[in-house]
Amino acid sequence: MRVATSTFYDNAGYSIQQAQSRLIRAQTEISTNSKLQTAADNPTDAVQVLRVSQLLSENLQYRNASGVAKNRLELQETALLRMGELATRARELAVQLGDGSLSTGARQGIGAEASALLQSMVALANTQDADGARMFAGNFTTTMPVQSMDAAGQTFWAYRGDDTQRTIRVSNTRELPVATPGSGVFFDAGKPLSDALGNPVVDAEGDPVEDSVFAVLQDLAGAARVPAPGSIADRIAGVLGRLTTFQDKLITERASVGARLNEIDAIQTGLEDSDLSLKSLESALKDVDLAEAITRFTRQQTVLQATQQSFVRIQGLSLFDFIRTG
Amino acid sequence: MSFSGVTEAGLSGLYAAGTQLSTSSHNISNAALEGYHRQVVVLAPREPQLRNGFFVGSGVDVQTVRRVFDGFLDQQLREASADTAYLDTLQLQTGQVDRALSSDQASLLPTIQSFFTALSGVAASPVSTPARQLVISNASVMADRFASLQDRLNSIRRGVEDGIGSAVSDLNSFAQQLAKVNSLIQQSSLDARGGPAPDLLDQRDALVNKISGLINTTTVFRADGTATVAVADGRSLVEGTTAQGVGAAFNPDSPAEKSITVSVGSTTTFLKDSSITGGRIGALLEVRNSTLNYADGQLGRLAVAITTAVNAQHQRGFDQNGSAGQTFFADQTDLGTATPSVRNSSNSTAVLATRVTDASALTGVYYAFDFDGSGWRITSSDRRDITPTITAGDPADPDHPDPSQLYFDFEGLRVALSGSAVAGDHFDLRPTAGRAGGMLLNAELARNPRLVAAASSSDARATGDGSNAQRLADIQRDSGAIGGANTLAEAYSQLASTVGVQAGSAQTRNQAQTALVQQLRAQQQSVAGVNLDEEAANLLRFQQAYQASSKLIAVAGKLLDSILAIN
Repeated sequence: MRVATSTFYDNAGYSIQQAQSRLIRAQTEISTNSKLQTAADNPTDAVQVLRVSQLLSENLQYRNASGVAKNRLELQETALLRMGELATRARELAVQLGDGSLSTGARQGIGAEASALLQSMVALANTQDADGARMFAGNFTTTMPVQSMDAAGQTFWAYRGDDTQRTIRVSNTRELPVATPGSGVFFDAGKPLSDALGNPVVDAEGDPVEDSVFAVLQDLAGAARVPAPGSIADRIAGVLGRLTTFQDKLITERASVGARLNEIDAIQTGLEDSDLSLKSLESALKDVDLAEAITRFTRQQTVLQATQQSFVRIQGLSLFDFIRTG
Repeated sequence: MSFSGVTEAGLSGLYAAGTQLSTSSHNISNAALEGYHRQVVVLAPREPQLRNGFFVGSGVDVQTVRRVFDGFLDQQLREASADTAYLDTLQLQTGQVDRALSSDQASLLPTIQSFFTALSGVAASPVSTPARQLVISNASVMADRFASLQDRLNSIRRGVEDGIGSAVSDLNSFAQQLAKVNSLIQQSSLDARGGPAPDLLDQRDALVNKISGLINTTTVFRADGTATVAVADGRSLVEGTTAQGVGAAFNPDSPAEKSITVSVGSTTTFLKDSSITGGRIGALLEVRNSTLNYADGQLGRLAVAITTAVNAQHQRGFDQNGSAGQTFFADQTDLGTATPSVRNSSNSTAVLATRVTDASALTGVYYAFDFDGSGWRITSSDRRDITPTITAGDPADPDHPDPSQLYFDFEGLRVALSGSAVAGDHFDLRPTAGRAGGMLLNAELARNPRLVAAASSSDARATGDGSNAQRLADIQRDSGAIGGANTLAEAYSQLASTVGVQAGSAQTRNQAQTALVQQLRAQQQSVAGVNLDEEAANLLRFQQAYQASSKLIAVAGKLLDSILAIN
C-alpha cells in the first residue's frame, strides 16, 4: 500500500499519545492506589463503593455508640457492685445490732457506720458518667436523682430523676437501654413512707416519697441510737426484710447490666466482622493490584520507548539525503 | 522530417517536465498541510500530424493539474472526524460533571455521612456540648459541599453557554469563508480549461470539514465545484456564494439557555435542540440538556429532601432549654415561581407559585406548563405527560385555601396558579434546580449548640434525652426518604452513577472513534497524501526528462547545422 509521509507522523503521534495516556493512567492508579478515579471509570463498581461506604459509615456510628454504651454500663456495673457490698455490710450491722448484749459504745459505732454507709450509698446513686451525666436519673441527667428532704423534722430521701429508660442505638435493630432510672432499683414503688405524725411524705412536686434503700439505712442508723436495745427487735427485723428487697433489686439490675454488656460484646464483634468484610469488598472494588499496575506501567513505558525510538529511526529515512545537488 | 517538429517536441517536453517539477515542488512544500491532496500533472501526447501519409507524433501536452482524490474516503473521514469533534466535547464536558460529583476530593456523600454520624453522637451523649458542636460544624461542612458543587455545576454551565456562543461565531465565520471560496471556485472554473484550482478545492473541503466538526451537516458538491451545506434539520447554511449564518440566542421558553437560531429576512426561528445532533454545538447542547440539567435537578432534590426531612424532625424535638426545635436549615419548601416564556402574551398575568408538599416524592426533573386557552398541559423533561390533581381554591380547604387560585398537585409539588393565562402561554418550572446552593444553616442555631433539638421531651430537665437526635440520625436509614424507595445515599449514588455512565460512555466511544479516524486518515492519506520519497524520485525523473528535452532542442540545432554544412 502507498503510504503518505504524513501517516508516519500521524501514526507516531497517535501511538505515542495512546502509550502516554495509558502510562499516566497506570501512574495515577499506583499513586492513588485506586482503580476508580471517578464514577465514569466503572459506574457499577462506583455505586457499590458508595453503598459500602454508607454501610461503613453506619458501622462507625454503631461502634461509637456501643463504645459509649459499654462505658456507661461498666460504670453502672461498678456502682451497683459497690452498692451491693454496702448493702451486705448493712445487713451484717443489722444482725450485730440485734445482739442485746452490745455496749452503748458498740451500738454508737454501728450507728456511725450505718450513717457512713448511707452517705456512700447516696453518692453512688448520684454517680456521673464521663459526660457529667447522672447515670441513675433517667433523662434528667443534670439533676441529682437522690436528694434529701425534711418532713416533720425528719430526713427523707426522694427520687428526683425521671422514669425514662435512656437508650442508645447500637445496631439497625437494637436500641439498647443504657441507664436504668434509679426509681426502679433504689426505691420500692407502691410503698409510700409516712412521717412521725403519720402523714404521707410528699416531695416538692407532691409525689409520694417511697421506701428506699436509703430509708432502710437511715432506719438502721436510727435503731442504733435507741437507748433501750430490747425494744428494737421488730425494727431490726423490718430493716432486714426491706434490705433483702433492695439487695435483690441491686443484684437483678447488676445481672441485667451484665447481660447488656455481653450483648454489646457480641454486637461489637459483629461490627468488626462486618467492617472487615466491607473493607475487603471495598478494597476489591477500588484498590489497585499493585503488582499488576506496576507491571502494566513498566510495559507501557517499554511500549512508549519503542514507539519513540522507531519513530526517530523512520523519521531519519529520506531519499533526499541521497540526492546530490550541484 | 521537420526540424521544427523536433524543436516543438523538445519544447513541449520542457514545458511538461517543468510543470511536473513545479507540481512536485508544490507537493513537497505542502506535504505537512492538513487537508492537502497531492497533485499530479496529467499529460497526453499532442495530436499527431499527418505527414507524407503518416501520423507523426509532435510532443506532449499538459492536460491538467489535478488533485489525487477519493471522494468516498474523504467523505468517510469527514463524517468520522465530525463524530470525533462531537465526542471530544461530550467527553470533556461530561467528564467535568463526573469529576465534580464523584472524585474522592469532591464527593458529597462523606459529608452527609459525617453529619448523620455527628447526630448519632448527640443521640448517645446529648449532654455533651462538643457532640452538639460537631453536629453544627458537620452540617455546615455538608451545606458548604452542596453549595460548592452547585457552584461547580453553574460554572460548567456558564462554560457550556459560552462555548455555544463561540462555536456559533466560528460556524458563521467558516460559512462566510466557504461562500467566498465557492465564489473563487466558480471564477477559477471559468478562467481555466482544466477545471477549478485544486488548492481551492482543498480549501473548500477543509472548511466543510470544520463546519461539520461544529454541527451536523448535509453537504452536496455541485458540478461547478462549489459546496452547498445545510445544517441541523436541513436549514441552508451555505448555498453557492451566499452564507446564511446561524445565531445563538437565549431560548424564550427556557430563558437561561441558549439555542440555535436561523434568520430568514427579519424572522428568527429557534431550531429544536433535538435537531442538532452533531459537532461541538450538538455535544454542548446535549451536555447541558441531558447531563447538567439532570445533575442540577437531582442534586437540588437531594438538598431539598435532606433539608425538609431534617427540619421536620428537628421541629418535632426540643432543645436543651426545653423549647421546641427551630428549623435546622433555611426552609426549602417555597420553590419560587415558574419562569414565563418571553413569548407569552403581554395580557397574561398568570403566576405559577410552587411549594414542596412531600419532599420524598420529588423527582428532580423539570416541567413545562402550556395553556391552550381552556386547559393546562404539563410535560416533564423526561418526556412524561403529568396528570396533576387539580383543585379550585376553597377557604374551607386548608391545603388549597385561596379561592382566587387553582392548585395543581403532582410529584411532591403544589403549584398555585393565580392571575389569568392566555392561550399559548408557556412556563418553565425547574423546582429543584439550583437548590443545592440554598442549603444554609439556621444562623441562630449555628451559634448556639444548645438549640440542637436532641430531646423528644419538652422537660428542660430531660438533658439525657437524645431520642430526637436518634430520630434525626435515622433519616439516613429511611428507605423512603427520597424518590419513594431510596435512602439519601442511594439517591446520591444513582446521581453519581448516571453521570458516570454518561461520562464513561462518551470516553469509550471517543476512544473507539479516535482509533477509527486514525485508520480512515491513514487510508485517505494513502491515496491523497504526499510521500516525500516518491516526490524525491519524481524530482529526479522530471529533472532527467527536462534535461532530455533540452538535449532535443540542441540536437535539432545540430541537425540544422549539418544541413547548412552541406555545400
